[in-house]
Amino acid sequence: MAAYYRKTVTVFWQSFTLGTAFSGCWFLFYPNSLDRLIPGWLAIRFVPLFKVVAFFAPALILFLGLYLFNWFLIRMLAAEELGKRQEKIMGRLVDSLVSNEPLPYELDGLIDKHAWKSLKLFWRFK
Amino acid sequence: MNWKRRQVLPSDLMRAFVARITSGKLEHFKELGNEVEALRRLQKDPIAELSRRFANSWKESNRYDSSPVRAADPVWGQVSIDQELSSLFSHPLLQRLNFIRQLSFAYLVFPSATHSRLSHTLGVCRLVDTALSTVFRKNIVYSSGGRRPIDLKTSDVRNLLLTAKAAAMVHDVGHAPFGHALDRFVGFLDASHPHAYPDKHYSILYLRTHLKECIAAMGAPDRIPAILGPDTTELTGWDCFIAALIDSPLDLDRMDFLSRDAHMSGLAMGFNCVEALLERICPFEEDGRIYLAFEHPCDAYVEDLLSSREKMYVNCYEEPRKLAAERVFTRLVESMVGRHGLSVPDIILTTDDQILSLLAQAAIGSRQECELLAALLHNVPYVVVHEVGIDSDDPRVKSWNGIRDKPGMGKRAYVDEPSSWERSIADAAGLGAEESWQVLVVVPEHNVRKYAEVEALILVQENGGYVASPVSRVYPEIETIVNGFRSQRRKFRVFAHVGLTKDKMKAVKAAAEDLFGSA
Repeated sequence: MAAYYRKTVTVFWQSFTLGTAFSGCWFLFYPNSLDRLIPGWLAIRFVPLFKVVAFFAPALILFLGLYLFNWFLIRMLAAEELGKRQEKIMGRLVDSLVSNEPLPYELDGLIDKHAWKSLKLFWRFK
Repeated sequence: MNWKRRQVLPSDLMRAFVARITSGKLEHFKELGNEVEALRRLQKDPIAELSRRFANSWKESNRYDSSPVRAADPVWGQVSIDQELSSLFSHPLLQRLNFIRQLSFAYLVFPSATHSRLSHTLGVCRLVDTALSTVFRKNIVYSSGGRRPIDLKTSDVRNLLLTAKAAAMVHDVGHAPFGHALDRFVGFLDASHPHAYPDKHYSILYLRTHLKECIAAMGAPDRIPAILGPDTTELTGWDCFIAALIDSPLDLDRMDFLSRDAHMSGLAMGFNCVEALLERICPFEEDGRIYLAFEHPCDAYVEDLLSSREKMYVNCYEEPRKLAAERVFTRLVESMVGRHGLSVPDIILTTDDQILSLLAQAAIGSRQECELLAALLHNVPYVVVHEVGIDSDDPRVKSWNGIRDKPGMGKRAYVDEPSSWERSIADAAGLGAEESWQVLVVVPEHNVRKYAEVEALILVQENGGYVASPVSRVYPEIETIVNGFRSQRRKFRVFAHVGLTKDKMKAVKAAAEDLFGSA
């Protein structure tokens, strides 16, 4: 099993599952704990919306954290594969330069995305 | 923006980086890339790709030649191209004519008749020069009211001369390889847009596309296409005269090809009349148009020219072996176009040698085509076994006559019917479809019935003024004389390969007689 995530969608579902589970437990066992955090100026009708946002906040924070951590893992553990992807992209960019033909911006997972991003200096969107 | 189909291009940094590590050899890599792509296409369908490449090689001008051209000519002595016209002359489309034989396969019978269409073009330029010099030397325009001096400035005369020579130079630029050999095929291949004279159609097309810049530099982008166009009724003034010099019943094109072909084939006829007729050329003005006319009396010269022309048709242009070779050639091209999806414009823009090399490659794998190609290259060993006149009462001939001039029926008359008759005769003679290459059917040329030359104008003095009347009215006897020759041209001919046994030859003859009736 890989020590890092290959697809954004996997990171998203993992964060969503864990985050909402955490929120669910929190809301179940401490139902009124959020009340003191509600700002006084917030109209009463927006209180449910505040709670919904608060419910999904852990999932969002977890997603961002996991995503950044996954980036670090990819750089650390998938350096070889990342290098191969970068090499492939550079080759295609040279071909594109020679033939004057644009190439499609295709992303097959997070490694591809990181490879493209890391080479951003060498390409631009058409 | 379509996010799912985003495209990227190398950045400027990437360009600079690659340029640095390749030491500026990026262009070279690009060329290599193009070559690889072309090689891939070549591998996919070599015949189609080669024909495209051959055609493209004649389209772009390199424009480095701008000096006057002087050339020795075996017929007229010296021919010169003015500096203003040299870029047009050096255009690859014009130079392509140097690789097209004027008389197609006539060299089978007249081995010296291998002169190029470019030499004919130069000859017409020379005759245009002579004719206009004569006209402006005499400095007279005739009309029904009498005669008057030509009121043109020196610069206008020079401009007129250059326009006329440019028109002469490009009048044959749309010719397919081997001259008129393919006319009855490429002209009618597209039944919805038939061209009885495909060379004229493509000449105008090239003038409006690839040669546009060259003629625009002379200040006449639309004038020359209009002069050479099929409809000259819109022309006025001297443009009408120039159009008639290049293409009319007694034009300089005819005068040059007749003299040149006669000289190069060794048949030697019709020279004196050309010189005499050039001296008698005169402009006749009517309704703002200036017509080409010939000063009366000139019956002896007109008769000499027209009868020489007919003799040349009988003895050279429609010599049976030449016709057989043209039919073999047409069959090979038809088969190649069908099998490899070649486009007619690409075929038109090749030369004699280029199309022969394409045919040689296309013939690989087909016994029938290999045999036809061998016949074409080995002196066309076919003999006439049967011929029948175009005025025959045979129902098949009558039916063919009925469709030949109908709109949209040219393909059937000149492309489909001859092939179908060849197969029928081969089947009836017991040769079978595989051996049908041993039978050829040649149909008469499409314009053999019309005799336009007698419509040339003769200038006659009348009631203190002048009238321009057609030859047929001023010299009616000439039509009778030339018609005598013409009967020899109006024939369907069936050829058989000499390699056939006597019995098979007899069977082919019998089958041909069954098909077309006895002569």
